[in-house]
Amino acid sequence: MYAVAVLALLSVGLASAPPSPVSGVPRLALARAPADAPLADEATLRPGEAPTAARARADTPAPAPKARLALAHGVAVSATVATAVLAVLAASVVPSQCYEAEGQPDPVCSAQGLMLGAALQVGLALAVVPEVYRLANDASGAGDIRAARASAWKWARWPALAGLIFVSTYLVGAAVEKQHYGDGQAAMLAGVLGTLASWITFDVLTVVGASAGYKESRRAQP
Amino acid sequence: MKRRHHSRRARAAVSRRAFIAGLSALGAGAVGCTSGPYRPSSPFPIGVAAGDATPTSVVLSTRYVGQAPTLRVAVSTTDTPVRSTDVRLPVTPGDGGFAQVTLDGMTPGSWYRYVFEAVDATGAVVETSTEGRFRTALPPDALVPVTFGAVCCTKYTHDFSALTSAGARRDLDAFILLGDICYADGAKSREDFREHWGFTLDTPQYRALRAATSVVPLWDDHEIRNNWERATLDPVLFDTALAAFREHQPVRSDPASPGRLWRKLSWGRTVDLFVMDSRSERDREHGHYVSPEQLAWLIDGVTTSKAVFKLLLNTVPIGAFDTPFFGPFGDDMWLAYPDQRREVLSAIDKAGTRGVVWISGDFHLACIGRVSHPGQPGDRQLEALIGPGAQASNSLPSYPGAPQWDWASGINNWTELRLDPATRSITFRYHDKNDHVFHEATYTP
Repeated sequence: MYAVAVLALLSVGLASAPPSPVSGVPRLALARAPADAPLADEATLRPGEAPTAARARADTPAPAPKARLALAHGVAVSATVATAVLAVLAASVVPSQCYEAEGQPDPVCSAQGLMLGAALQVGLALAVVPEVYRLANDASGAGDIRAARASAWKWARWPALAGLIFVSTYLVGAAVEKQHYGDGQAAMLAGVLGTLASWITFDVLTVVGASAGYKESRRAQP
Repeated sequence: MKRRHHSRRARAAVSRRAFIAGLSALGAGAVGCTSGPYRPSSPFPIGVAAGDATPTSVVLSTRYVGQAPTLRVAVSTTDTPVRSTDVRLPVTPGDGGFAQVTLDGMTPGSWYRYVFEAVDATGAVVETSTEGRFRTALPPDALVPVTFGAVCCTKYTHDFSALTSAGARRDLDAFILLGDICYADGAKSREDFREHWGFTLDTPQYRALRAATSVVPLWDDHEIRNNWERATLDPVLFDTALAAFREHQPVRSDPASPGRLWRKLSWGRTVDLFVMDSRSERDREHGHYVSPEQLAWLIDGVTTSKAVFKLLLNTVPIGAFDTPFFGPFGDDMWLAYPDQRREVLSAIDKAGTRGVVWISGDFHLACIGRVSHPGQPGDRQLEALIGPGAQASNSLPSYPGAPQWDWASGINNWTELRLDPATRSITFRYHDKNDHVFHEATYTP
């Protein structure tokens, strides 16, 4: 279900993502570039300075070959799914150990597992997914992976925050449930469903954001 | 209702189980599978079984797939191995080699042994089944302790080792098979059903268990398919499944109502077993979890019973599992039939009947507690869920707990029920696959 949801949303997201949803990313690059730097990926244009033709070309993203970009997209999606699987497996360790010790599930243990899994997924996806866009680099141009990562975070931070809230909701529900059977289940249910939705949205937007950030930052090789 | 409660938190060697439904598929990798069609392992592939013992009668059954033309059963009237001098009765196998015979005129409360023998044309015994044992039910006025075993939910693709210790016990007066014993989901023809039953019963654990004592078989949904109800089930499929159930399990048939599965079995004045049929008579449109006839029989039987204990063998729980997590399963429970549920619980409450214990299964978890929330009908009635015997444990992230439920576990198990009329106490002992009693609790219902 997870994979289907991610693929379905990505098919829409990658096709409809605007070319530069992250206005802050190029500006970060501009700020870092020295005034006399050569005109390349991070070519600068100081405020008030009239652009030359060369500078104008350097500030225009250089489109990646479609085949390479498609490869990078495919690997990015696979990497996202792989990190999600890893995170889910890691998340299941804590409740499984509690189960085997007690012979029954412990709601708080499952909350801990959920927190661990969600945190792992945020970290792993942001670490891995932008990196795979190096695959789209070639002799004709290269993108800035840091920009891709910043863009991915910019896109995915709200679902990550929503996930944090939903995981917290689950934790509160689990604590209540442990005190009085049944009383915490509504919160746990809302928490787990919200976390799942946030998780899927985060994964999709991480790929979409990384892709957009890469494409925006890609410049022709000098 | 008094109770003595002793829980042993076992660090049991259970297979990996995931904690939420989404994880269970990834985490529960212990599910095995059968390969190829079912092939009988021996001339008597499902061993032998005795069932529905009364003080003077029992039903014996087997399946013979050998070549000998004649079958007979030899019965030892003492609890000693069958000898050549013991009484022998001819048995006529039906289609598929299934044979059942009802023995009458026996001594109440006595242990017997028996074997089925395949006899050739010269009268020589060419094949002999494993030896079975059973105890006839106690005489009507007996007031002595009784010990039963019980299990449900044994899917043949899973590990049956939790049943091993039950088959080794020699002191169980009878063993309750509380439905979902065979997972025949998807079966359509008689041969399909026989194949599923063969995979289930043609196993060392079930051969030993069914030979060790008599059984009290019930059926539930998976003997046909998940959550079926009679009103919407193909009648041909129902008849086929029922015939397969009857040929594999020694169930007493009432000549007046041959299709009826609900029945009462008494073990002296110690306990009355109300063997319900929670599937065959469901009619959601009319709010019938069971037929009005079965409901009236149950209420009348329980409220007028002279036995110290009344065990209501129920397959699907009657407890108020009304929390959000159980919402998706609510349609299959008594809770979805509130009028009948209220009627039976209120009638028992109103009559002030003591010693009522609902014995249920189906949920892939074991738990003990009160049927209803405080102040509602049934709030003093006890319900114990047994099993699963060989199934994935319930994957909900929170199991029934206080204040309504005293304890719960998902460990594969069989349950021992010891009924002591002198103290009016019932003790539940849950055995895991290592025969470790991982929970024991005594109640005085």
